Amino acid sequence: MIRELRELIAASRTANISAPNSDIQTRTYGGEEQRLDQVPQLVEKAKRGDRDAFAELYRLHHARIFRMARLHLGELGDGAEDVVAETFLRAWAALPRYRNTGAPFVAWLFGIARHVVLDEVARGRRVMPSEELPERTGAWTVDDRLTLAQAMDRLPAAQRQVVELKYLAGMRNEEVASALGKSKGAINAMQWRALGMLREILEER
Amino acid sequence: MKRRLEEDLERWEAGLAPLAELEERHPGSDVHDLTELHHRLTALGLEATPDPESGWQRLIARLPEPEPGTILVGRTKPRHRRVLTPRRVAALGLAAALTLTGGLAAADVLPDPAQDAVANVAGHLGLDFPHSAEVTDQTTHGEEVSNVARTTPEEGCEKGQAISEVASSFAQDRRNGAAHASDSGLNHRGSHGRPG
Repeated sequence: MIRELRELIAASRTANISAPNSDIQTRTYGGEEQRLDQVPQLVEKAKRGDRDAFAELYRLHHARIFRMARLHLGELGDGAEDVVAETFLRAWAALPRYRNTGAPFVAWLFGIARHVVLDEVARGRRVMPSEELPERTGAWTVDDRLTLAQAMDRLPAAQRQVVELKYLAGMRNEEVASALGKSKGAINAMQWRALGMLREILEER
Repeated sequence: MKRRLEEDLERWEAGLAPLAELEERHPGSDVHDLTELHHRLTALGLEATPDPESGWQRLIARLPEPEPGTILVGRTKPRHRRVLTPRRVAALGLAAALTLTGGLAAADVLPDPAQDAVANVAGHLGLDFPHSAEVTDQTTHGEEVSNVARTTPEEGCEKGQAISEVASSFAQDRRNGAAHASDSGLNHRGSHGRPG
């Protein structure tokens, strides 16, 4: 697994996405940064039933929820898109009860998405990883995602949340700390402990 | 994982420490594998995703109309302090006076005319307040019973019977008075036993 990781990292470097995290976060937020600043206002409008505001929230958060769903379901078809749709349907229904606690809105969406994913897995929507090693192309394969998702399922819940919010939702450590009500130092420790555990779980396979 | 290593990894992630420095400071602690996994997970978060517009077009058709009663976004009107108008002050004063008078009347401590007036009004309202005469009667009757108990020459059963007869005579008088009032059409609650 580690050898495969190294191959993947080599391919990633070719694609110039292995910079330190400060660069990556800039890249993650990119031109969306200004739009993300408007999220609290959009949420307030959406709570009043403003569909245009909700549409903007959907566009801003679609990719993050989609990646999370795709990781856990391993599907390349409509499964992940269905999870996104169901997540936003539930979010629309629950928005009147949403309270801004200072945590990023995406953390609230991830909480909903997590339940949707669990429902989908219970319905048998998750594809099982194949026995054969896939051909390495540098990109994440379905099997890679499922292997990682199964490893993440074995993490303590708090560590799994940190990994999801940081790597899939693209949140900074400060934002994850705010979302989970912990200090930035605690989040940093949980992040690296989670990666240490993930590495051990993946090596067992 | 050691705290020192976690802190150094944080510095590396922030671009403040090169990987070689970490590997030198933490030999044999899988720094390289950890940083590779970090890169791989970061790459996962940068993967291309489908255009959200098509998904939104499918979703918007399924969005239900918001329920007007459940969407509450704080106060819609500023909350005003209640102003004490003269009418409100008068109503509050009247309510306080009635409450106080009623309490005093129930305790039989009002002057006789006031006690009778309150008892009459209360009787029309279905409340049972005593009249001033009843209070006097009850006091007098108590004294009579006490006198009999202290002065009767009889002993034992006979003494008890004598006291009992005097004590029960008041209740008998009240019953007779109530029956009389009923015959006269005056049997309001609160006015029974009122001496004619």
